[in-house]
Amino acid sequence: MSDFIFAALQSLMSDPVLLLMIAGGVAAGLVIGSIPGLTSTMALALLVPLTFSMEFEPAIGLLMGVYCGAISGGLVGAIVLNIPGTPAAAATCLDGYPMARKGQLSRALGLGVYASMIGGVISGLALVFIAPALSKIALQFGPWEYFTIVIFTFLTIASLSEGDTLKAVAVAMFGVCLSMIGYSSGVGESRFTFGINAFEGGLNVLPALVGAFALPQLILDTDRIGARVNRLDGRFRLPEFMRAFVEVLSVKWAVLRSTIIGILIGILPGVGPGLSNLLAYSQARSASRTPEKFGTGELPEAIVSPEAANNASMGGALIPMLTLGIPGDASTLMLLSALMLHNVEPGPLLFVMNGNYVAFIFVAFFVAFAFCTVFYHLLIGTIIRVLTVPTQYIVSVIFVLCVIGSYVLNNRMFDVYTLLAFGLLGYGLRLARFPILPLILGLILGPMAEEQLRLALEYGRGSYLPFVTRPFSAAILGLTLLSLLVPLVTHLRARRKSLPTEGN
Amino acid sequence: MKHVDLLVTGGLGLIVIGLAMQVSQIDSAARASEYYSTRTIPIAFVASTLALFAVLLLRDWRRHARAPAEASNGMISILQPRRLIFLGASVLFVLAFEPLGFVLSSLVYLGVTAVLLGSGSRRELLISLGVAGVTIGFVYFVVVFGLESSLPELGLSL
Repeated sequence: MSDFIFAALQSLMSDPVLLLMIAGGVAAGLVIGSIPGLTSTMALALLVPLTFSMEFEPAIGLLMGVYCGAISGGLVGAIVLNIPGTPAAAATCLDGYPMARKGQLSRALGLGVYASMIGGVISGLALVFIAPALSKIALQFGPWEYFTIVIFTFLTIASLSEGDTLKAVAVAMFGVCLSMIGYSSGVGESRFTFGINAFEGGLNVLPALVGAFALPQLILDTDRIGARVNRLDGRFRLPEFMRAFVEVLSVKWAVLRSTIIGILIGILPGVGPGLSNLLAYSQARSASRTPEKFGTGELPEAIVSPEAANNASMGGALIPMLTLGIPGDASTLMLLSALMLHNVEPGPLLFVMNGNYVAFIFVAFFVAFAFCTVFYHLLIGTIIRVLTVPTQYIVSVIFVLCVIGSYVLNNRMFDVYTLLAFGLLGYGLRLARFPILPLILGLILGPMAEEQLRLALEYGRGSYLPFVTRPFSAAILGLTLLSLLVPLVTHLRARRKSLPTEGN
Repeated sequence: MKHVDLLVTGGLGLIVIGLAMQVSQIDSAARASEYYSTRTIPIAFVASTLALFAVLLLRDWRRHARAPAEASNGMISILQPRRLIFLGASVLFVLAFEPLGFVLSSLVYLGVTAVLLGSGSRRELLISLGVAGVTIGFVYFVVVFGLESSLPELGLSL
């Protein structure tokens, strides 16, 4: 792998177009991620379809730039407006905004930015060392293990995602059912087409993905039009911003602990940066000698911890995506669909057959963070000004870009109608408090689940026993059970504790 | 049945029932393997999804019966004027995208939504026309020259 990494680094450094693509992606990601309501998922949703005609390297370089830029950019909205640009920066508001209100805007931004960069780079190192090792283990997997991994992913996402577990499982299965629409080469039959020719080719995942994530968010964003925003008028000062780096180093253990939390949470399917920043913040408060000062904007670790964790989740989330083809969160789901768009199948074989692609992804990840750091120093004033663009202009422009992105994939209106249908479906799901991620995960992983189940039955001569007799498969099934039981037991214990209080 | 949860769960359940009724489309005589029929896996997946939605619907129905006061909250959020305007305009934009062409449909959509969602002032109209012009020019340049693809044009499908 090290040879591939050096080769990828060499080709990247000798190709200005590739560097430009990553830089452009980072700049776009930083701007989009900083605007409240526009998440990293939205940023990727806008750009993934536009990369279809590009070569692999520039396309993935651009998207890695957007991914890193958008998650990182969320801290600007959180500190300047007290509204997190992305859910990944939710905990940053708690101390970032109070610190900025005290006239320390540059210090707060500096703490967040440097912690983000350190967390991101360490998680990149974890990605480089863990992913190839995990892919070697995954090479021993058969269809039984892959099928159980898909089930594990569905159930883990269901039990860890916010809200109702049963709803999450049901909507994931709904996605699996929709994935069966069209001609199946596995059984040589058309299924669930309702006699409509356009359904023969199946539903195109990308417009469905873009529609389900983007349209509901845009509709909900219209609620912010005309709302009063507590924007700070403090001036940004670069020297003060840069001095924060020394402060970040002074709380290095908090950074390291949060980074580890971020990486571990990122590896888990379905959670990612949205949870890791909150968990890291609460861990930092528990470990602090002055927990009462959290929320006042005095302590550097209160900003550093959530920011190191959310950026560290990125490297973590890429590990299962690259080694098993299982995305860790909605953003990696977009990256997975981008790889599929370029006929690159993530999984252990990717490391054997296309090690150069994997190495390029690793290198692009680090280069994107380098650009992030540079752009924060040069453009943060501009990014702060972008936050004031009125929402009514943003929502409709983004929807136009979504429609164009879906249309240019195959130059057919069917994909645009798919975008709209999944957008309306996604809006309905959000109103009824169904999570959207399991739906799309079902749509993407459904064909994999079906194929692996068919292969497992074929190789096992119709027997289901290997699912429990093969060690890896049995271990994954055990983990699946554990992922369901732990939240259930925690919930029951919490309920039992609350009963006497209610009685009193 | 006012509750959004019930409406959405019921709607999804109906779609799954629709899929279940399509199972007969799959030729069971075609043998993909000696260990399973072509219908085995689709039936297993659809049946378990249907069972899940039935349980959800029953549970939500019971919850709804216990706490009817909560029922109208979801409906109120759906009927918020700005959401309705944006949703309606977006649906119309998609429907008009091919017949009117990219330039005209986008210009009307971007202009109208910005004015209707904002305060509707003359300044806002001018800004929205500017934003529309820049967006359309940028998209046209990227798609036609950058991606070497095409976009629907007025009269193309007439």
